[in-house]
Amino acid sequence: MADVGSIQQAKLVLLGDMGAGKSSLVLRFVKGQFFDYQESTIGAAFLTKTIPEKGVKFEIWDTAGQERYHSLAPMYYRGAAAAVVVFDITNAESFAKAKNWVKELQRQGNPNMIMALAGNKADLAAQRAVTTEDAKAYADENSLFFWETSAKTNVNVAEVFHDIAERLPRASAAPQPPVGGITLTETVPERTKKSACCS
Amino acid sequence: MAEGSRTAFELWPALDHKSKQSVISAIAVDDAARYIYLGTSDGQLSEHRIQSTSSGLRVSLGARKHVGKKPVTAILHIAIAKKLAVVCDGSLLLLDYESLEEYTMPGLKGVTAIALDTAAGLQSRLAVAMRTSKRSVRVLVYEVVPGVGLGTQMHSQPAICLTQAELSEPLIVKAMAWLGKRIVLVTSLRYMLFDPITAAYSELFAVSPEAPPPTMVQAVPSVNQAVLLMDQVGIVTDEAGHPAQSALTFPSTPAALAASEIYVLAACADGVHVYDRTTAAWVQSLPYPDGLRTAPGQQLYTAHNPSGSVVLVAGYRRVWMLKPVALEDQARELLRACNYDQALRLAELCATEGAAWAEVAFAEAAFMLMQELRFREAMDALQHCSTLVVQPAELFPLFPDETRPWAGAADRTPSRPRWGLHPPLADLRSLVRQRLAADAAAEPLENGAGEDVERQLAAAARQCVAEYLLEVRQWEGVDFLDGVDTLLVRLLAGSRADWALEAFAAGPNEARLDLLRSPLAEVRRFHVLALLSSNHGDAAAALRLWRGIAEGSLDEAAGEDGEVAFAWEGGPAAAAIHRATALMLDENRVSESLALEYLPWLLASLPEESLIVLKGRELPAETVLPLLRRVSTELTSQYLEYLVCSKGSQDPAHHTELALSLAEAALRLMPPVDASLPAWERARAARERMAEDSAPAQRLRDVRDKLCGLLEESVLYDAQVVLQRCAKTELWDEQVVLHSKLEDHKAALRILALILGDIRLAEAYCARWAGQQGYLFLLDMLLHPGHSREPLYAEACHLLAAQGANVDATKVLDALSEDMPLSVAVDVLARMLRTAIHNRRSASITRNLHRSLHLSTAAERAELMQRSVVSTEERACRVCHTRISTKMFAVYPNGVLVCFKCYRQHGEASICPLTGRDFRLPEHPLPAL
Repeated sequence: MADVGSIQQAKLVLLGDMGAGKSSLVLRFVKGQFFDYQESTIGAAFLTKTIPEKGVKFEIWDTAGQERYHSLAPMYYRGAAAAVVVFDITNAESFAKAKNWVKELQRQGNPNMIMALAGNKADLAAQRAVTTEDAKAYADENSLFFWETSAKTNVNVAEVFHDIAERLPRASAAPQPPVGGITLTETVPERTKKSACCS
Repeated sequence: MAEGSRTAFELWPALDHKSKQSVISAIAVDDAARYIYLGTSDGQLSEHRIQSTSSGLRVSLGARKHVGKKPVTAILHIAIAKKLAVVCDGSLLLLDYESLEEYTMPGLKGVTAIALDTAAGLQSRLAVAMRTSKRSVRVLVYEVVPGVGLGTQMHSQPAICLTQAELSEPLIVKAMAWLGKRIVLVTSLRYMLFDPITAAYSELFAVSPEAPPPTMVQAVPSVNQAVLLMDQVGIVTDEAGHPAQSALTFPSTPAALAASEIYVLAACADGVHVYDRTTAAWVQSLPYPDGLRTAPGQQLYTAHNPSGSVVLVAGYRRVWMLKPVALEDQARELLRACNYDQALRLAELCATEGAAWAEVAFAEAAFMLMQELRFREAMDALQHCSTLVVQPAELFPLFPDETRPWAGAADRTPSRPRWGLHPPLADLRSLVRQRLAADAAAEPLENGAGEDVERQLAAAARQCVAEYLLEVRQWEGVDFLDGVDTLLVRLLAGSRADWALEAFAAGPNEARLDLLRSPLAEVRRFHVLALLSSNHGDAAAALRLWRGIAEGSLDEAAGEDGEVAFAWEGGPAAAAIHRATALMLDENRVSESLALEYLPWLLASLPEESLIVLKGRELPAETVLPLLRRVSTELTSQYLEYLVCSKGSQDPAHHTELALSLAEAALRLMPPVDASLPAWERARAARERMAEDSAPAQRLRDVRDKLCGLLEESVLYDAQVVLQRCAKTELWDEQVVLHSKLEDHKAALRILALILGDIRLAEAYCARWAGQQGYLFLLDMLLHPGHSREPLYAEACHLLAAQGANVDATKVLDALSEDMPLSVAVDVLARMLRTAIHNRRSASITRNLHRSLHLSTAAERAELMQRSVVSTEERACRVCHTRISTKMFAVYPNGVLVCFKCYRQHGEASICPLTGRDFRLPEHPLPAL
């Protein structure tokens, strides 16, 4: 068991298409609640949850799935130790969006970020549009770990987060040092370069 | 009142801009909130004085100045420099605060935004963004200098440029805000974080093409945060540009933002909406008076002073002022509305910033929550209150029976700051019944269910209060601690929190024992009563109670947890004995007489525990030993061992008794042997059994090791008595030691050689104790073992081979039996005789050599004696040159003659005093080989 005195903080971001169930997953994990009609997230919601036995405090950013808030996402996944990309197993389009999120994270996210792929709404297996095999194969190809979850029936919800907690590198699980974003200056002064390199 | 809502601000109409030619285009307020500055679309700047009157607010025009032909787009009040920064027609003007005298900053054209760093202490850093070309923007940082006059007659510039940097940006900077040491730059399409020192900048995020305008930023300098707007979302970012809290979700896209204390205000079309920045929760909506709404796409302007005491919102013609309601009043309002969560959160936030009222809010919330039987939350709230605000004795009215001696205690304490939001606390039973009655009115309970619910609610409340009291009683300044502790014992006993109760009773406390005896006895919690008695110095009562529990005369209540239930398998008796033992070990609390009084009980109940007491404290051995002898020889032995080995007792009786008890123990452990067998065979059988790898054999080895160790090392025991006990037993090793102590070496050797058959040990014994005589005894024994045993020739030869040369050969030969076959001993005897002859011849040679040396020395002496010396009158001493005449003199072998006096003084007869030659050395030393 982890030393209670050495709880490390880990920034975790949830990404995915609108209606995939990101907020429901987080609410189920953090508060043990589920609402059939969960309001659409606007901007992003911030929650925390400590897993004492793993010695981790998750700082969870539940982002909005609407396309109009897509441009805000880099603010939330920048410096994140882990990301959970969520899709709805009854919606093939949400799986395609999830793949786009994975690509974006691979391109612009923290290279050491732990990524999980969560196929949510597993309780609606009868209406399944994405097979477990397809999702699993995609996850394996991209070194993601995959869980089929159901926030409604509380299946595999805690497991996703516990799995992430297990995989967090103990030294770097804490939030990354502040990085101001993507440097746009074309003629970056030498001093700035050094600073960026060492930061 | 909607959930979470409260009156955080009050909105007042401040002024109307009545001009038909112009509209308001910028607004500012000074730090002290005495002046409003308005910029208008016709390039006018006006100053309005704010006066608070009994009927409300009065704002009057103070001064007006024409600063340009185009609209004034920004006004900033720079308090330290006593200046106003105004942007008009792309130029930056600095105006004197009092005279409104203006100074146009040279070289600044196309200024689009300005921002003042209000967190820069005594400096006034002003950031200026200007368009320099179609593809670039320049950001400059000035320090506005205080005290430098404006006007053409002054040579000094009122602002000094600290840094400037060029950014490749096709769009103009619409807004700016300082965020720590960096600046947030806002264009229509993106938000950037710019470092004015390194000129590096990075994109925070791009504005979605779908998002409606405008883009804007509102700094919150007090916490180094900023709120960035996209669509209807306000993103609170920290100094590093990371999101700091959930996004603020405004009801519509705001036209302007402002910040005050913990709030962010969004001026929207329908009114001003207030959000708690720390939680992103909506707090209040203030519609514009008279049902006004702004026109679609209409610009609104906001301004606030750094302290946040005034926020201004302006449309084209009207200005409204928002004044924050004191957070204390807000908390009070929330509590009145029974909005405990919000009130507690606000109090918690303000407590971290040191607000004194926060504790009062916690206290009020706690007492109100108690009225609603929400004891868990109430006690959590009370944990935030110091004893200056809430005394635990204030909870006594809940439990009138348990706290009767302190009735009215809370009233006697000094008055504490309160808001009076809750009625006086009734007793818990009444509270529960009131609540149940209220609930039953809404939803009647089944017959009989009410009592169960009542009991459960009361028990839960008692448990919560007990947990709180356990914590708070450790704080400083607790009044009536005896009452608190007494109540705590009653509550814990009632809630069956056995571990907590036992730990509390065993720890330092001021519970009133006299008030607790009956209640604890009634609920049969004698163990706790004993712990309290022990803790309060009444060791006799504690021991009496524990003895009663152990003996069954006191029927201890069965516990679900705690020492009695779980700690020891023996139940209450074991728990009682364990605690009694621990107490009896304490010499300070339990006198010798008291310990001796309870020792027999302890010995009878759990002998092992009593031994801990005997070893752990000083008790007279002469009293303890008779008690122990009656109980167990094993314990007696252990105690004697402790006395002798650990305490170093010098009493011979202890040593003798220990030796005897160990011998008895060893004999008890020894397996029976066939008495008809000869001794040596019995000894061998016993040894073989003792060497077995079994627990009994190990125990026997341990006991005999201890016994032998004692017999060898101690000189105090009576060896004769111990030998008497060991004789005729198989304790042969012990008998050897005892015989040795009694100097009966022959007996010892007989056991070693003939019974134990250990010649090496016998030899060692001889070497250590018996000398040459011992060897001869031993040899004799081996050759004449008696008891019809055959002589042990091999052992005898071995002895001779090892020791023969050291023993007189004639005595050995005398000792050898005539029956001994020569063939067995020939080798040994031959070697022994050869050695003897060799020794004799060596001695003869040595004697003759010495004789030869003696002869040669005598001859040399005789030769020297024959030498003659002629002495005349002139002959003088070679040392002191005194004439010899008739005096005595000495002549050295080399002919040097000295007077007798010098000879004596020189001292060394064999060394010449003149030449230093040593006559003992050869005259011509042999060459080295």
